[in-house]
Amino acid sequence: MNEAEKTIKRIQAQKGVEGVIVVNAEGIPIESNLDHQRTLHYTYNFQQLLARTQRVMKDLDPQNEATLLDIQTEKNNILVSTDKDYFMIAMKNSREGP
Amino acid sequence: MTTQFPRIERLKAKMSAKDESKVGTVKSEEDKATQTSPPNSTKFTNFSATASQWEIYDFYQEEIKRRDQSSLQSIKEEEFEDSLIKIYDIAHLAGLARYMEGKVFHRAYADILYDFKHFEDASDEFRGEKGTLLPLWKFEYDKAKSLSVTALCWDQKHNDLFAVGLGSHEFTQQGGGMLVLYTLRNPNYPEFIFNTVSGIMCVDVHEDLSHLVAVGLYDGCVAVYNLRKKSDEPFWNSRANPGRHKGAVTQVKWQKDDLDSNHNFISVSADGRLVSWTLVKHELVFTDMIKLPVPDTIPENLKDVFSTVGTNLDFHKQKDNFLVGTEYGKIHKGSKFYNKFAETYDAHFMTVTCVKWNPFHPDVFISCGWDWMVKIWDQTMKSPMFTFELEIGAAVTDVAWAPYSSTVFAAVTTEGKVHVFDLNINKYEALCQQKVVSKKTKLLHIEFNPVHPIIIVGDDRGHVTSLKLSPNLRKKPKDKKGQELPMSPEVEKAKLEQLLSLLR
Repeated sequence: MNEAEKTIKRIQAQKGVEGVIVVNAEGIPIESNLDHQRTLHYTYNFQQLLARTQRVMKDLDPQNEATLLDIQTEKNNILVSTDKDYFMIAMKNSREGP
Repeated sequence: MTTQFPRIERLKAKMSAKDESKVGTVKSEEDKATQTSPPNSTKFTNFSATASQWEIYDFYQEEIKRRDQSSLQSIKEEEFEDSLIKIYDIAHLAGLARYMEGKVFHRAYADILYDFKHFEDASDEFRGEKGTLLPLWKFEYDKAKSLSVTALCWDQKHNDLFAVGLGSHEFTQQGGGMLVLYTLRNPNYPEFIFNTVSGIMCVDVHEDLSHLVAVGLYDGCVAVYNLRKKSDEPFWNSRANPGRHKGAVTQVKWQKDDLDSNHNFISVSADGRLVSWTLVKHELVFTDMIKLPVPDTIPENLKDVFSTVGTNLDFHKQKDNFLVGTEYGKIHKGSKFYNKFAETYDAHFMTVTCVKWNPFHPDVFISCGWDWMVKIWDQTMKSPMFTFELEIGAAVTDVAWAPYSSTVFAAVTTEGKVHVFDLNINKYEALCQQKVVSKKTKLLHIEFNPVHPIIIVGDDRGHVTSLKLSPNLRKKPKDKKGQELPMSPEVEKAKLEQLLSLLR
């Protein structure tokens, strides 16, 4: 297993982490430990949210761009990080987590 | 006659043929259509994009660049295939995955991150001069469980990166070793891991070129790792070198580049030799510098056979002086350019475990040893300026000066305690004596972070614990008006000089 896969496995093994999704430049989830429906659902929604966010950041300051989006919800906590065209989503159950 | 019958029969056959024509009802026109469900859903993609002004501009810029570069070339078939595989491959996402791992970890342990960044213990005001250490993250690597932390070194350039050398001090427990580098951005798992054949005894990260890490091993080898290269093996190794040490290498220290702009470092070892190693292209060139003197109790004819185990080495920042501690409890002061030692101090009754120059005052150094003592010296005087007996029965394994004050230092003992002193506030007692590890765990090394108010301590279980210093341990000197003076080397030097002048 290469480094990226090992790291993703470690993220999945962290306490409280429910799911990790890796989405490629074309919007296809290439790695996920959630069921298919949920994966597509999250991918579709976050792709749009991320595009919107990047547009906002670029509008405010063309040199700046978002690298991490951290959403705290009632039930859980979602982190989305991007790197050029790829992005990764990690979801944590905030009640379970430390 | 026979012809007539067939004709009639034929006519009869004709007449009696059933009229099978029908008039069918015409149905009204019906539209029928079929639709297939999309094939394999994973290949079916939704595409959405926006076209705003900056997106169009960015795209045109990239397009111009691309056209300039590939105007003469066309995409070969292999490249096309490669790019196809790339779309489904996550191998090059290692950087993003590491970033995510760190963020997820810090989100889960957000309270520790907050403490690291903002927490200042307010109860220090009511505690008089005493301070405390707040435990932050604990750095553990499961494959290092059977090893002890033998060395710690912060990266001077990237202040959140530190190197841990793992091995064993015990003669009977020698196995492999590891060089592991952690970053505060991701305490979950090390940033770099290198396995070595023999236990690591010392580590030094180059001050300016922090991708060069020198290590000394138990079997006498020295090696230099280049963190920029993605290989498990060190870039330079003294294994095949005729100058290699015949005993465990106890300390390595990088020096300033020599006259040919080659990087070089100096090592001291259990065989009593101080050797200078120069990195010339892919080789290590050695130069024997000096041999540690053997005590007079050993008869003359055997002096070549016995060697003095050098345990520790520290170089002066401004001058070319250096100090070497030995197993006999002596500290030798020498210079890089002279063949003899300038001075010998009878420091401790047992092995000297650490000797360090003060970062601000050019004449002051500190030493600690197995004889439970920590001593502070002025290099011009034969006896120590300050002597502290930390704990009865607990060998002092390491001591470090604080980078922010000339009078603050911290020491760790085999009883698992950290002692922090500030000579400017209290010349006789520690401001903090705190046990930071579970029972029966020995603390072996301590280092102050160059900028953040934290220290890291390594123990004999292979764990590294980070602790935050409370405000009382970081007091800045005040001027006559009672206001805090800005941090400067001159102020620090003057502060210590004032203290020393009272004792001379």
